[in-house]
Amino acid sequence: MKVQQFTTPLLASNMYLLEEDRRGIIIDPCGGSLSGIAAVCEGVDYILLTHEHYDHISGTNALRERYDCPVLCSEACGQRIQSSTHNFSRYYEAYATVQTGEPVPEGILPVEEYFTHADEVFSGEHQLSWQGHSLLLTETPGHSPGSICILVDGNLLFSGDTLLQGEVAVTRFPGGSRRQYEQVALPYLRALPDDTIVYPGHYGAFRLGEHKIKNWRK
Amino acid sequence: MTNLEKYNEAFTESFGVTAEQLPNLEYQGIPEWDSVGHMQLIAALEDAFDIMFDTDDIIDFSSYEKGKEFMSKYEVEL
Repeated sequence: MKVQQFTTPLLASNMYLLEEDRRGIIIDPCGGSLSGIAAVCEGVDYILLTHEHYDHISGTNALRERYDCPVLCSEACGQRIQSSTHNFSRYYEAYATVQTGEPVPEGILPVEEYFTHADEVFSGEHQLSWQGHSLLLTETPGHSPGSICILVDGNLLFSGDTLLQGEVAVTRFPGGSRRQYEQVALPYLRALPDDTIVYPGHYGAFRLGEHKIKNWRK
Repeated sequence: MTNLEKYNEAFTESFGVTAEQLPNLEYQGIPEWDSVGHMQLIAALEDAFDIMFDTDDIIDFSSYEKGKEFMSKYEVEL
């Protein structure tokens, strides 16, 4: 299985394309191009969302329409992506501007408000079998109510914004919860093996055991 | 609770500051009022007053005092 990373120019959000035998799974449809995906895959079987924030879901509608595949996420995420307030698309330009200190360049923001929906949702855990691989989706709320982590074949972790290199998750966004992060997400992360490769929602991949966060893994 | 008390409460709960700190409070003036904290504050004010800020107003909401000017635009008298 190959993992391809696409990163958006604004806020450096990562989309991942898992490819096996010319079939694909897209995690967080926010970057890349239809032609870029088509060059790798003949078809896409699932779109998975690690959480509901607009910078991770902005391409959901376009890719679902193109590939006629289901969108799968947690139940909380499925509810919140239907609201431009809860998926933050209504705030996206303002947030990007105050975060970068510069106006958002023209052409980067295609819409002011964005809505989408899930085709399948789950609570707790959900197991997928795909092209000989196992995917375990687990709710890890804290960064947002709808956050999940996706563990592929037991050693590849697609963490969304639940875990970024050198950082614990930001839990101060509206809807975030430090208490939930410490009670649910952290125990999940702490239980993972050191050789787990983490593909985060922003920036590059890293090995969990080499991560600064090992300080809180004890 | 008066509108001013609700306005103040949005700041004190978002940033963990006291009412005495509010008059001179500015964006990035304390660690808690960073870009993430800014969105916390905006969401708290929208919830408290049942309003929806325009994007430009969210960007220009640069201090406690400046914010008071914006509130009147949304028919909230402090």
